[in-house]
Formats: sequence, C-alpha cells, structure tokens
Amino acid sequence: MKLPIVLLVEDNPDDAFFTERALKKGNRKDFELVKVNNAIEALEYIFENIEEGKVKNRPDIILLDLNMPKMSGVEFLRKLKSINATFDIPVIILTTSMAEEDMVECYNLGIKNYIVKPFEFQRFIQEIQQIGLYPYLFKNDHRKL
Amino acid sequence: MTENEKENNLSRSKPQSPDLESLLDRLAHDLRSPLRSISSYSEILKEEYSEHRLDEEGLRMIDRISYNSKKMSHLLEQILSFVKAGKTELNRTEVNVNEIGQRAWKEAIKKQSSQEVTLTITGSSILNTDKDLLQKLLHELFLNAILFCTSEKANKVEMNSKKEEDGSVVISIKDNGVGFENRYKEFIFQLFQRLHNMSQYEGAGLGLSIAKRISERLNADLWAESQPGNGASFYISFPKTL
Repeated sequence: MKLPIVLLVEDNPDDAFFTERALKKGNRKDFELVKVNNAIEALEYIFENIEEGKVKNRPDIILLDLNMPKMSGVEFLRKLKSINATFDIPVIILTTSMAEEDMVECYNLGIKNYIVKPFEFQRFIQEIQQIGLYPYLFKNDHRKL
Repeated sequence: MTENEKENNLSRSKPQSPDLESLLDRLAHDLRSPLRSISSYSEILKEEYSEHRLDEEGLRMIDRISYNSKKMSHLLEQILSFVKAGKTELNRTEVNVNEIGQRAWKEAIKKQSSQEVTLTITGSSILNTDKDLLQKLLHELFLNAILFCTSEKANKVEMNSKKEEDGSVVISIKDNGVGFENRYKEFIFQLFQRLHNMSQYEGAGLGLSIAKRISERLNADLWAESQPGNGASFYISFPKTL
C-alpha cells in the first residue's frame, strides 16, 4: 500500500533533522517523509512539466520553510497555488520569521498553519504534534490518531 | 570597566546610526538559527544519551551548553527588541495605565521568579498612547526592579501614575532594591552598560536602553533617581495630549 507523503522543503540540514525527529515522536510512523533542500527541488519533485502543470508526485501535505536561497518559500507557494493541479495541496509553514507581512501573505495564499520554530526542541516537538498533520495524511482512516 | 571609563562613557551617549541598526537587526536574526541548533542538539543529547553514554561531568557540560545558548538567545531577543522599539509604528488608543501595569508585571514576574517581590499600584490615569509599547516599557522597568532586589528585606515595587496640573501624566516605578549612585543615572540607560558583575546580577545591559528608546518613541521622558541601598525610582513623563 502506498504511504501518504509529507514533503519537507528545508534548506537548513539541522532544521530538517529536527523536524524529522519531531515527526517521528508522533503516534504514527506510517507515512513517507520526502526531504528536499530548496523550493526549486520541491518543484522538480512535484512536477513533471511545470509549464503544462503536469504533476508526477503529489504530496499529501507540504512543510515549507520561508527563507531559502534562489526561490523563497512565498514564491514557491505562489507558484503552487497558481496551478490547478496543485493549488489544493495543504501547506504548513515552518519558519523562524516572525514578520507579520510574511504571515499575512502566507495566509492570504491559503496555508493551513504558520509555525514559528520555537527555541527549545521540546516545544518544537509539541508544536509539530499540535499541527494536526494526521487528518491530511490519513483522510479515511478513523483509527486513533 | 574603571570608574573613569564609566564617567567618560556618560558623555558618549550618541544615537545609533541607521546602518549599524540594520546590521544589528540582521545579525540578531541570522544568529538565531545556529543557536537554536546548538540548543536543540544539546537537548537531544541530554534526553537520549544521558542514561548510559554520558557521565555526570558530561551531563553538567551539556547543561552549561543549554544554559549559555538560552542566555545568548535572550540577548539576541533583547537586541531585536531594541531595534524594533525605534521603528515600531504607533497605534495610539486610550490606555488605562494601571491595567497595562498589571499585565506588564505579570509577564515580568513570570520571567524572573527567583525572588519574592510584591507590587503595589496607586493612583490612576488614562493615556492616549500605544498600548503594546507602554506595556513593553513598563515590563522592562519591572524586570529591572526585580533583578536588583536584595535578599535582605521584603522586596517591594510600587507603581504610581497621576495627572499633573499642566496636563502631563507621570508614571513612577520605585523599588527598595540595591539602588545606584546618582551620578550613574544617565549611564544606566546606555546600550550594553552595566554597573555590576554578571555573577552578582545577570543581564546584558540592554533592558533600560530598550526602555529609554521606547519612551523616546512614545514622546515621553524617562529618568531615574537613586541612592545606593535605598532602592531606585524611575519616572516616565508623558506630555499633555490634545
């Protein structure tokens, strides 16, 4: 059976490590975590042909950093939301940016949640647990999440 | 720092240049991320390696790494607060000073709860000002009052606010802590300046600079008076508003 996919778009390997670790602390491990290093790689992972909006991999949810080189998280989000085949993929922002304008723009672009990574790792785990990831991953699964 | 150097610094209170501020802002932002990594790795090490793979000395060192990275994180937050205080857009509303004082005190006590301190509020006034900035300003003054408490007597902080005859509103915050020599009454508001060793009283020397900067942003005057051993009094005077 194909596992649901979480796509983590994060350029900082330490942060990717912490997010993966925090995800693994959850009750369920039956999903696939795909990690990419930046927004360009994320587009390459999702699209077979971006001009035609042809999708090859459709993640069930995307965890997106904002401050990344070459293409920012916001630019990626705009691209994703402008294409019919991907506009409804749920996106959650994981960032250190507390800038109100980032938050407003991301919510205007239809994100599900905006998490400012807390300083303490234990609190980060709590934040990740509280995102409510499972309903996006296990839509028809009514087991205890 | 010698007494002479401190004296010299009294006359060197120049405003920060905008370029330096941008640099400070950028640095504080960019240092956050690696610091968060250091702190998170040490938390993971402690949680997952402490049982069999780390001895007491190793654990102690990890605790010191965590402690110091938290301290540095606090310093970065303070730098960001300082920069932000100067450029925040004002949102003026009618503000009940006592209500904001209570909130600021609650937050301050939560942050520095190692000492038993009580707050008394007297007087009352309504100000037309930015609520959030006023709360931040009072918060910094309360933190300062709590920090310089002594363990020899019951620690008290008093806040009073009143409308003067000329229409201005003066808020005072008085403590019965260690106090300072009156000749340092301007020096204490300078960036990164401290009158005590880190081992005596923690703090990076930024809280009162933030308070000063906020008061300038709110078009208010902030000054202090004190005698060593007799506590310190801080006053904020808001001019009459139409």
